[in-house]
Amino acid sequence: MTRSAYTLIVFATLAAWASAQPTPRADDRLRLLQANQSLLEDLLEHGLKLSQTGNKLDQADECRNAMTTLGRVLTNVTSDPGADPDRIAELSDQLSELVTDGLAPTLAEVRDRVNSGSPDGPRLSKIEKQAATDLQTIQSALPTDGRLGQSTKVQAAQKKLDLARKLIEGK
Amino acid sequence: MKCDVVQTRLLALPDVRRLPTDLREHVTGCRACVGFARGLSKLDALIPKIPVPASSPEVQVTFFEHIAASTPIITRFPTAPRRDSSGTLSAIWAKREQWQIAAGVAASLMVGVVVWWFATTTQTQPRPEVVKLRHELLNREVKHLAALTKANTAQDRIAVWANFAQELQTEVKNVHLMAQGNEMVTLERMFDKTVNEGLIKQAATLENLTVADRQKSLTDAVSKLKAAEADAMTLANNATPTSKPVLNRMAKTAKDGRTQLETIIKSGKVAS
Repeated sequence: MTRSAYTLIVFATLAAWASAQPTPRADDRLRLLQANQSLLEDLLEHGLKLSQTGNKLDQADECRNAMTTLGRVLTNVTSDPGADPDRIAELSDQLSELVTDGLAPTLAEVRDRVNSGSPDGPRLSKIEKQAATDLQTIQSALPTDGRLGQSTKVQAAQKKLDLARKLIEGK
Repeated sequence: MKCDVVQTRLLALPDVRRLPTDLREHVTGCRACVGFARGLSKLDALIPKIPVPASSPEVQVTFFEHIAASTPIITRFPTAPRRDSSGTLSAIWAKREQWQIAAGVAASLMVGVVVWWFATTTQTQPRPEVVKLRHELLNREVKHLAALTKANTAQDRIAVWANFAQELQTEVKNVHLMAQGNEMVTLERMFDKTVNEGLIKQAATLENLTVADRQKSLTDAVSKLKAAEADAMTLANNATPTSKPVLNRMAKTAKDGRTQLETIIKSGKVAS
């Protein structure tokens, strides 16, 4: 009897914890889709272009273009003083993920090849420089003072972008 | 309480007609135990009718000594804990030794100290707040872009596009009942491009592979499109007037895409 009661309590606690996790409802999902639909379409175009090439430098350059597309949306959001820090955090996370998992490893791969005598050196450094500059511009658009600047989410976004830029620069 | 426990306790009763309350509750509601109790009651009633042979006091003494000397077959009857028995928490607590109580209190204090330590150390370091809501489709699309950037083969890209088609279908499933504007059309357009310009175009580059290799490379994509087609058709049955035509068109896109992939597997060429 007592064992059953304990088991019930444990399961009830787990169920309560699981249901407390943020699961978007249908209207939330729709709102997110409405906010992102043109960005989703733009990113899809970058994906299609990425698919059309097997050249690593072309892939890195197209990934950089996708990064600037995300950065443009992020910059637009941050220009609004009433912006939602969650939105800034989400877009920054996506941007830094794209750099960390896509652009930086691809650039590193080409860098290795250049070190082994590949003639791609000048184009590689051009793409690296461009990507670092783009990222710096995006980063400087993030507010550092006021309500948004005080937000720990925005401060964390700054750090992530900083880390992403260092990865691009190969540091 | 289980029937075998009840019946064992019934066997141990001096008079089966006088049931303790907890047994009576079970026996009155259980057909098997009622029958068992009745049987026992009959046996009890028959015992006095057993003819008793006359015996001398010496024989009686020998008989009782024999019984007392035998090892009992059942030494302890299993019983279910009762409310007033030692199985309850209060009874266990009452039986505890003092050192056990002291050890319990000490353990609780240690847990408290650890919790307090964690709470105070984490408060001193500012943590980023948890982002409330994220758009899963955007998240997935960014992951796919990263994967496409690193992709080296057509097979890598095919896997990415097949997964993205599936994720678009999931998004459609999640929003089709609420969508009133052009969101469904956007998703349809994206699905169409994903299937035709992403997946099929990559599949078409596999023409130099053997049929077996093409099959291996495209089987997963074929089954994902098949699932997407079935999903879209099911959703269309209960969809709003805005979403229904979109879902029907998406089902057709998935079906045509699947047919194309199957043709590529067989012939290596895209059907004209």
